[in-house]
Amino acid sequence: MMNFEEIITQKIQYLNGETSQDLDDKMQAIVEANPELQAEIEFIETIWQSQSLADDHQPSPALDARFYQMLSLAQSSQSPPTNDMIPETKKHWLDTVSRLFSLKPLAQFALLVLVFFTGWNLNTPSQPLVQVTSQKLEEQIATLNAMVAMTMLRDQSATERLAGVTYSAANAQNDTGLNDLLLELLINDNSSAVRLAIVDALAKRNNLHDIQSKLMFSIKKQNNPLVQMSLIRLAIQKQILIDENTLSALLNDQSIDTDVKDYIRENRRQLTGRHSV
Amino acid sequence: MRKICALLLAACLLSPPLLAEERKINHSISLQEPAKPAHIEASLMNGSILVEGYDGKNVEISAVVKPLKLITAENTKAESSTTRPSKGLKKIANTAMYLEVEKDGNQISIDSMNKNQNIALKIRVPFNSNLDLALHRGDAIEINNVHGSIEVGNHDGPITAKGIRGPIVAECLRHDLVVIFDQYDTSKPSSLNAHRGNIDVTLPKKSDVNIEIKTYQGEIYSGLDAEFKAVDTVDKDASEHEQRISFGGAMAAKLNKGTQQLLINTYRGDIFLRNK
Repeated sequence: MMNFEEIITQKIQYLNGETSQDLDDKMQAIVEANPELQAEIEFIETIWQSQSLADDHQPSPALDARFYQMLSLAQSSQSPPTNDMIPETKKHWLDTVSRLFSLKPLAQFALLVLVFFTGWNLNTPSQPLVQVTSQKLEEQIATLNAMVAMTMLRDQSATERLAGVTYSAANAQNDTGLNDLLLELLINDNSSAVRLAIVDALAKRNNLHDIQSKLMFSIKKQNNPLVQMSLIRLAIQKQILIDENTLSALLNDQSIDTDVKDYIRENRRQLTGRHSV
Repeated sequence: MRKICALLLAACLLSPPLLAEERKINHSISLQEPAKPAHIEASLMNGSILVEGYDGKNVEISAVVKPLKLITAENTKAESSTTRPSKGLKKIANTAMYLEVEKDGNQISIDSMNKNQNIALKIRVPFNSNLDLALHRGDAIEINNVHGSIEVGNHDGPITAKGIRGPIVAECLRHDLVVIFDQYDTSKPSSLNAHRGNIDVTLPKKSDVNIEIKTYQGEIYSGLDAEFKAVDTVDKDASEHEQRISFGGAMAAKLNKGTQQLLINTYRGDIFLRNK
């Protein structure tokens, strides 16, 4: 005997589209014979039709299953769903291209090329571009060193100026402006320690012929015998010749210390370049 | 006769122009910024300078005007040539002290260029003060326990600096220069120069110093744990393919790392280097 539940289930399955077969004659006869059953069937039909449930697009069972899987994962790990959970959509080729050529990968690629290029060029110093760059860098460093030395040399403190002389001798021997300042201080600095250090710094240069006349002029301007003798020794060491008239003037100068005059006399031949016959 | 000469001699010695009263002054100066080093400049024409470091914040100056020396023959001649009559007038001994003290922030200048007075100047300074001292005639310059930078020149007397750290730039002409380092400051180079005087330097064993010595006729004596070698200079003229080598000229020694230079120059004086 068919029960009411089977009839209602058949009706719902038909309304859901799960079956194409509505109630058969036997079922229909039972429905018509039972007013309560008939009312219930009519109620179900009314509800189904008013909500238009038959017209709505329902997710497929497979999609439903994936949705609930995602939900359970999200609830358990609190992490966003990964790409393999998200239903795959068809990728457009433009998306791939735009992803490859976006700013960040381009910048990374450019940096990699720059590093490679720089390393390769540094290992091949014969490259003219690297030589020019290296030379300019050295010139800038030399200029900076000269500026530091000049700042120290203009300080009021003799200890600072002394430090400036030793700094210039170690780091900026070839700067023209710095050498001019050193020559000026050789004559005008009030500290003989600074002037002695300048003479020592000049002694380390290879060629003094360009400043030869200034050096000889500064001998007469000195008020310290040690500095005068250092300059005379410098002239001997660098083969800077002094003419006889200048030497005679120094020997006759009352302000020149006797020790200095003795030193000049002892080294007269070397200073004038006259050799014994 | 002897009694008369003795009396006359006593009268000469006690006469007002020769017996000036000693005059003393004391003055204390507070620094504008006690936490920062003071910079003291002192320049005297005639006298002596003593500077002592102490654990304080003020700069304390005391000066004594010493009695004048006997009037020289030249001065007597100049005095007798005055045209104005002075009969009946009493000569007043000039004890006015010409000593200027200026303060500008932490910078203090003490100056006296009076040739007719002998000033014994004593200054007490905070330990970390910087000094710039000059004495043209007279006696000694003495510095004790000052740890800042020192620049000192004595034209006619000796210089003694004890318990210092440097850097120091010191110059003597005819007298000895004695320096005893408490520590050796490697921030800047130091230079010691004497024309005819001796230079005597004491260094702590741990000093990082590169010593370079030049002396024309003096001797070098060393008790340091470092070997002295002659510094040779090689000049090469690349264009003419010539080279000139100067042997000697300077002697150099490196103590420990040799971080900072100590330059010593004399003409006739001897050089003494001692360990502390």
